[in-house]
Amino acid sequence: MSRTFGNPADYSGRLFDLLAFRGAVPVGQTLLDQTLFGTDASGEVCTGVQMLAQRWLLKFLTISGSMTYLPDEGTDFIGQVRRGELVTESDIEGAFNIAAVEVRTALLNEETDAMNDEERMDSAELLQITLADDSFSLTVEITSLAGTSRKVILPIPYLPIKVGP
Amino acid sequence: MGLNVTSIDELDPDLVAQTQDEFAQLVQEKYPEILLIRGVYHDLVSYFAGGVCGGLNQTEINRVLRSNSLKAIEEDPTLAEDDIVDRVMSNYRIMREEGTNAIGEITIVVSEDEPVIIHSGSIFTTNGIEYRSDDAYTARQTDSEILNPTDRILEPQGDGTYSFSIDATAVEEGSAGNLNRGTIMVPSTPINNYVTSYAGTDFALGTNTETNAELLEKLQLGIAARVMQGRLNIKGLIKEQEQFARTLDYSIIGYGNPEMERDQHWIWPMSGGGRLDIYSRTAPLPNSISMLKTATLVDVTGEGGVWQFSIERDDAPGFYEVEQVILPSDAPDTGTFEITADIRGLDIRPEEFSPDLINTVEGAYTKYQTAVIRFIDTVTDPANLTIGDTQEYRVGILAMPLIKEIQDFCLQADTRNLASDIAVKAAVPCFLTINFDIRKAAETVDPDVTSIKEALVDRINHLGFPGQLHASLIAEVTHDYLETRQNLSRIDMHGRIRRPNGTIEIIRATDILQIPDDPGNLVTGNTTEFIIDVDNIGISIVIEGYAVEV
Repeated sequence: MSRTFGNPADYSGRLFDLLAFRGAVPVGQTLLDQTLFGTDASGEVCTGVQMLAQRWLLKFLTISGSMTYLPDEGTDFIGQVRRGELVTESDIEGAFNIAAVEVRTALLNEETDAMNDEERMDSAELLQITLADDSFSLTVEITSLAGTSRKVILPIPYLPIKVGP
Repeated sequence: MGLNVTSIDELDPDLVAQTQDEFAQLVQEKYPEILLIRGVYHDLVSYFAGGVCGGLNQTEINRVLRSNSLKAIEEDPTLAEDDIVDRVMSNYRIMREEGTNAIGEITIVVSEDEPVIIHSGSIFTTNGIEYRSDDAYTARQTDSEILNPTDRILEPQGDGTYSFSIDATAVEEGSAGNLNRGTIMVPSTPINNYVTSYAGTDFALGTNTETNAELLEKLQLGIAARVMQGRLNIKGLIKEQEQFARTLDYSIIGYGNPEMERDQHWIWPMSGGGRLDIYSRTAPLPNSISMLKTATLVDVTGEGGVWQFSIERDDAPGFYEVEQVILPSDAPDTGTFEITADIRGLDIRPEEFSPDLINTVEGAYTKYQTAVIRFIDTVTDPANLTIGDTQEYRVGILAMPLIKEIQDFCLQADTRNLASDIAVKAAVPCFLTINFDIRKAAETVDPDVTSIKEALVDRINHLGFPGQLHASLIAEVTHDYLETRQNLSRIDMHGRIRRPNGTIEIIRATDILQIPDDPGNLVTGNTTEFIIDVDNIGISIVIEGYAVEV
């Protein structure tokens, strides 16, 4: 049986990363804020299964080829969304499965035995797809090798987000 | 490419990955708790700060490293940064010569004897290259109307047309602006009564800015002391003079060299030293100097009158040969009357300090050389003329530039070696013709023959004094312009050497064209240079030999 979070005492001496998807809570659903810092805090770090979820999201959401000197980074999922290729739930599910396999393979390849099991990839499961007029959202459960998991909700607009006037 | 990276896209992906890894390694040592594989730190911090910025800095450092020492520059001059190379070379008194614009005269032919105005900056074009008139010129009908230095007289051509010449300069610097005399030049703005216009003289002195490789070649000269002593010293001394800085190469012949005969002017035919011959390649191609000469009728034959004119020593110092004699009214691309005699002489004046030249062979291609030229005019009817009558002809003389100037410089009291005299000569010419086929498969695109010819001319005319020309060199240059399934046939190389004694020697080969080792005639690899113009390269493209899939 998986747990949704670990014991805080277990995280002493662990590897950590900067937190990019802020606002996560151990239990329940919440919309994440994709910022490194905000008005409420000057930045946070993450570790354990939260860090694993972040690794998974970064790989999954990066458009393949968009990082000039890391051409193998990312997947084609968001690219397919932008090109209008994902219209039905079936389209989205199919594309997700292909991308999720890519992400899992990449994460497993870069992990080492020295890492804590809670930071290592086990599986990612698509729990729910919600379609809206201008976007859809995915609910994904990411489970670590230790059995801990994180559910993340990914709101994905069909068009790139416009910044500024 | 400048020293600074101006776009992230210029970076080498392998270098970015390497610098990111190095940066991550350093961070790992200091902060072992940070996750260095995929994550925010990896994708944002170490990727940009370590990888991209590190790659950017390292790229600029590498550019400096491959330019800031002679060792690095010599390893690959094409990669070195010009600014840094200039600084390194300045330590050895070597300066990069900037490119110069070709200059010459444009002859304009009009149909009426009426004033014509050419505005300053008027553009004339040939083969896509633009030339600009140096000043505002007015062509007038009579001498009495001449008011300004830029006024010109309309010269009757004998066929009802009139001509005048203006000075012009290539708009862009570089050797591409050099032109052969007679090349048609088209005005971009209308000219009253216009008939035609062409290069009245060769357009010359157009040079490209020196490359790093050329600077390296000058390095030895830069280190050498500027004195009339050893070979490098003499070359360095001459090329240090601004006027001669862009001259190409010199071969110094002195005591002990088999080509040196001037140091045997004693009772006994043995070398006594004290003489220097400097064979000079001052330009890629000799200039074609055009001038009007008054010829005298000296004989009448069945073919026409035999006429004679003289070339004085200052007309075309060190000239090779007369390449054209035509009537003033003839178009510049007219052929030439047959030259039947070319008798060389010497004009050595006792009031000057001059090199010890005792015959025309020793004086050939020096500034002291003169000549009497005879030719048969097959156009002018001699029936109504008598021996001794005179007539003007337009004469084209082929000569290496600056021979007189270099001779004068070498004999200056402050310059010359007090224990020797120096004779400056144009290098003995071996006029080349090259012919070959480019054999290609039918589906391949025709190569750019014009560019191939220009590249060959540039390479061969800058060989210095190699003594031989290899067909493999021609193949190497040409292959830069070929694609797969395109290759060369046998390469026919034909050389015409005009020996200093005036006789002609023909050499021909398809593999190695060797300059004869004939010091008795002053023809060796140390005295003779290959000279070739684009007009003397024949390249045919043939679809032949390659297997065809059916």
